[in-house]
Amino acid sequence: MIEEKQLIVRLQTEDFREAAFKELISLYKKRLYWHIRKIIISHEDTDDVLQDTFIKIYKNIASFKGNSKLYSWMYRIATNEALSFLKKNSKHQQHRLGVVANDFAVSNLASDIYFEGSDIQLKLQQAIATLPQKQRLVFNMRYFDNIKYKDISDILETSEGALKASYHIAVKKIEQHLIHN
Amino acid sequence: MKSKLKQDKTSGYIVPQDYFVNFEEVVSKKMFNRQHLEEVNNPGFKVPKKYFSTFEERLYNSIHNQETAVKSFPIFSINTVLYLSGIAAALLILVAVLMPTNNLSLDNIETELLETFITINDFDTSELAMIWDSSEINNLEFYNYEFLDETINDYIIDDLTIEDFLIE
Repeated sequence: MIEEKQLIVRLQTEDFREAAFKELISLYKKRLYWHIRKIIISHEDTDDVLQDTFIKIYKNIASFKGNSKLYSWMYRIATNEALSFLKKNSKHQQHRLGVVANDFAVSNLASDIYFEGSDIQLKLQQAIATLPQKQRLVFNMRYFDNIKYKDISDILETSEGALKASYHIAVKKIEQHLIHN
Repeated sequence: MKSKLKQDKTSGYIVPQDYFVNFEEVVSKKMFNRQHLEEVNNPGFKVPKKYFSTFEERLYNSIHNQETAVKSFPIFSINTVLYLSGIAAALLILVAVLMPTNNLSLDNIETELLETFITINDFDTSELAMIWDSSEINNLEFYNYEFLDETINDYIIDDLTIEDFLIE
């Protein structure tokens, strides 16, 4: 916690910003990458969104007030960037948010050179793609990343109770999808 | 009544056709999936070799390229409003040329056309917000829209799921 506070101070001080930002990238690039990848699916698009996320963090770090953890704040930016990307993509394809963009990415997973999952992992991704966007986010963050409900609540700005309900429904839907497919 | 109850000891409940015939299959499938899912602790994605070790370099290149682009073409400088107005005027002229019989004004430009323009040019909300100062924003008039109950019902039925309510 003290380390995070010190890092924030350095990030907000002109003379130390560059060095602190490099430290921030090496600390969080992998975690944010995997978070975005599970939303976007394709590696190339994830790379673009991850870069945009760090650029946004760099531009806005001076105004970070510390009302939430730095980690939650960055996850929030990454989530918003990823959802905006899907929205923009879907808009261009004249389809509704998430549905077609993700269906397309998931249907190509089997031939994606950056996917090496087993059949069950592929089926699981297909099942996740059938979930509404918010349930998908909650499921990925809880199931794969083991993020605590309290932290997910900070990131998604949603109550813990609603998140638990959402995760429970997501698990049920995925089970049903796996049974019937 | 008592004698009738003694004769009929069924509960009255029924099950779907073939429920018990397929039961083992359903349960074993569920157990199989659960067992396998417990073993799945990652989504199966991978990244190109050296992706993370070269990430910083590529990111700094992107930042550098963006800064260079901004320096050579300051979109939101003092001339931003003039620039956007110029484009709006150009659009008006273009539409006027294509449809000379219409009465044209800024009000007649379709919202969708402007949205497409903003989307294609990749302005984000914070950049657009920079065009106005706070006094102008404070002076904005907000309209109160009144929706018919029927419209709201249609929206709830067609566009929302129970999960939306649970999450909100």
